[in-house]
Amino acid sequence: MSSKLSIKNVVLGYNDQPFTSRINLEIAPNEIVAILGPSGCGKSTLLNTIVGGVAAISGDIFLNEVAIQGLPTHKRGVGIMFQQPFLFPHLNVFQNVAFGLEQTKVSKDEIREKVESLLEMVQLSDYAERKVDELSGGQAQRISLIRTLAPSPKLVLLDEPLSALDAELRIELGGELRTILKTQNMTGVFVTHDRAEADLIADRVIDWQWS
Amino acid sequence: MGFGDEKLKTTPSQVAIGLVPVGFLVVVFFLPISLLINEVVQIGFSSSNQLSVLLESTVAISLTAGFQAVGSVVLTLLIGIPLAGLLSIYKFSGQRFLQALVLVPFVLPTLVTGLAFRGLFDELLSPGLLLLWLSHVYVNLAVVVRIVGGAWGALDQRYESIAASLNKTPVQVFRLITLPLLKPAIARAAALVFVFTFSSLGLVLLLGGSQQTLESQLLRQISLLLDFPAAAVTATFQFLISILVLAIANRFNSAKSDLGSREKTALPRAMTRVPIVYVVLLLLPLLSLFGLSVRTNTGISLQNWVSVLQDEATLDAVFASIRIASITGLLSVTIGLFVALAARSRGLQKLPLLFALPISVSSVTVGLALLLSSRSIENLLIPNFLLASIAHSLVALPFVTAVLVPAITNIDSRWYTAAAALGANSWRGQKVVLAPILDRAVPLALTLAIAISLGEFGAASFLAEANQPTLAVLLLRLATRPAAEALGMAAVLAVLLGLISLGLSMMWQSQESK
Repeated sequence: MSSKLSIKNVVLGYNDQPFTSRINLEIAPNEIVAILGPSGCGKSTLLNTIVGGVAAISGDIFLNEVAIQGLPTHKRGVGIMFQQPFLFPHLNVFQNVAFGLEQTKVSKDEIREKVESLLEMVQLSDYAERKVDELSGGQAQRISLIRTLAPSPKLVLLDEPLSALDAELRIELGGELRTILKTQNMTGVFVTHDRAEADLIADRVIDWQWS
Repeated sequence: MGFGDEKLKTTPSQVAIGLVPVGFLVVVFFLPISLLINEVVQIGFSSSNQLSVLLESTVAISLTAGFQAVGSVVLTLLIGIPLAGLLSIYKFSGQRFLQALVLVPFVLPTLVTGLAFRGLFDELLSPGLLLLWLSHVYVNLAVVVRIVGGAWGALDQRYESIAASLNKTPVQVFRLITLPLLKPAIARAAALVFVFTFSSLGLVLLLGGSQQTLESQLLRQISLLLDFPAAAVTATFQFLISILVLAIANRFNSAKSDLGSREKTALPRAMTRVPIVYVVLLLLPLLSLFGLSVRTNTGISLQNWVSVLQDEATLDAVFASIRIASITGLLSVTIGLFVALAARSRGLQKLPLLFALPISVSSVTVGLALLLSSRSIENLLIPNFLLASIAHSLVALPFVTAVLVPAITNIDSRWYTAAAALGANSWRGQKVVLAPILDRAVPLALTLAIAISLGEFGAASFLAEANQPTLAVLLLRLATRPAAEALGMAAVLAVLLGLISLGLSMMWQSQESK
């Protein structure tokens, strides 16, 4: 399910001290937007604000014209993926991917079917029962991606998801990431400090410094 | 390669350095403990009936103590885990004060805490299981906060953010993600609290009523019944159970704990009163102890203070305590330094583990083992205060080595290489590199050892001279007398002992924060 994201006059800050001017951004359904900027400029804080981890000092965030700031994270329908995969170490690969589906009213058979199809999509079907610490960096990040997509969020946030990988894998996984997001009809916000990566994945690139 | 990754080669001089503390441990710990076990075996061979009767009563006490300890663990975790979370994931004003306050009950000698609870609950709650549980929670909160809070503070909050973004409510996030990831730390804390409360002595004597632990039984067998064979059976049993529990706890030490780090968030408005509640609960027993010290038959007065400070026995006790604590400090820090210096080499890295072993044996057991072994050698006249000092050193050693070993072994060997390249000979190189580290670590270890010795009374109660008890032993004698004035005087001693311990604790906390 794809959604439109509108960010209106949002000011980010730390300890009630603003560190950005007003941010305004519109992202259309199915669009993947990359926000490009140096480390520490507030890109990750913006994603954290959209997902509900921190509150903005002021401004509004709308998802499909519905204000979401007042909602707790679990009710926003926003998925997030970080630089490190953050796979839950006490769960195996299957359980990690199924984690977000267990809350929805989906039968166990349907959950199994969905997880298996997602694993197949990233060509890791044989890894379902593996422990997460047995995965390589690229495999772990693929699992992290399909775990984010499994509950079909309205919006996917990607916080430098490729920067911990080596150059070759970054290009390979970057292309794969775009294909998967497009085939799943997802709206995505992708933050990075790497221009080439932004161009590879996004439909539109916004330079944080000049915007 | 990271700082401290490079270890020195094992040279004959390193081995010689390692042999000194090992020799000490063999003579004052392993041999006496094996003698104690041998005593039990002898009883078994000479009279299996006697052994089975002894074992039966020991098992019965163990079961009662086990029930008490399990209850203590459950309550401590229930109250301690939220406090650990409060201190490690939120930031709020007064946080450092609360953090320091949580450590106070753990640092205080248990007799002081026992008297504080007597003062607090006076007629509300008579000595028994409930009062014992409450006091155990009070003392052991620090264990849970340190271990679980440490793990929680090191748990990257992005695990929880991801779980929440995958449609999980805050309660589900805690149950499905936070709690399982904290499980190794919780298990480790639970095992330690179990060992501490299973072998509790001071609190059992002052607050337990009819409750018994193997420790209190052991003290009774040695001091009242003078039944050394029975004491040997009890001590061996206690030793084996503690070893078993610590071995189980040790399994969780190897569990993966590198889960990132957490940035503290502001305390939600709805929770602003929670830290205040914890502060009040932690302060109440301490304030009531002071109240008990100024309470007399005729009302509030300083009569107890005057009586204690004018009593010659107090001065003698202060002298005895200082003498034993000084020897304990010197002995344990010297041995600890040898362990740390030896552990710098690759082949002797595991040596400190050996010196953590005495933690599984109570001070009463250590004292008994030393007493029996010194008696077994004819014409060997070791003054009792020296035996008490050795016993205290063994109790302090695991803590002293825990301070000294990481401080010294974490020095990257390339510092020595750099000193040598600049022309320093081996001795000067060692001095230049080690001196700044030792300047901080030695006072820390020394104050820790002295504080442990000052509060210890299990071994001292039968090893210190009868006419010259330590402060802690004098406190126990006064606190267990039926007269009301004696209780007031005991409270005065408890306040004094508590203040000394707090002073020492503040000294080492300031050293630690450097």
